[in-house]
Amino acid sequence: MTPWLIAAGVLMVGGLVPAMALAYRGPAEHRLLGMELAGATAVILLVVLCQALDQPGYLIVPLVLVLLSFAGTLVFTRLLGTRDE
Amino acid sequence: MSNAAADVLLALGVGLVVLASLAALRSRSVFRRLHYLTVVTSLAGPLVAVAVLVADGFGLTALSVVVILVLLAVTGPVLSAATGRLNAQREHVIEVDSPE
Repeated sequence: MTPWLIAAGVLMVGGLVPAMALAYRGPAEHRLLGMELAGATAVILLVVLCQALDQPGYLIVPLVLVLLSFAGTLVFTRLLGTRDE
Repeated sequence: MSNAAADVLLALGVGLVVLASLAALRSRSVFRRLHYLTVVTSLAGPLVAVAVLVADGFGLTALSVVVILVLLAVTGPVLSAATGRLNAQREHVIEVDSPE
């Protein structure tokens, strides 16, 4: 088992699980922050996984994810900001 | 030697992500949690990018990883600002329509 594979496992358990727990409960802005944290952690995790599996072709997945999570989060901030008022 | 350096950089990056995620879970304020998000996007991401650079050397793979993690580092503060503004609106710290 390579250090990259171990790092991917640690990121999954220690990084993604707390972020998803944050996204699961609390008010909307707290959950949104959990989603942002999960997105950023997932991007790093996918990069580490590509390196661990020696599959650089899969790097398109974190590239698309970083762009989509950026646009998606901005849409959420816009909608949540106007909903209550 | 370069493998050991890459492993150390990778361990630093991964350790920062884990510590920041656990700290964000423990914290109660959105503004404090935003600081932990910044640790992941602006510190851990570049550390992992440097680890890949050290492990692979300059090439197309390393360049792709650097582009991805630079994008993460650039978009992170924008998202933090947007989330901070949303939270300030919902806690009535600022007006909903400001600044127009």
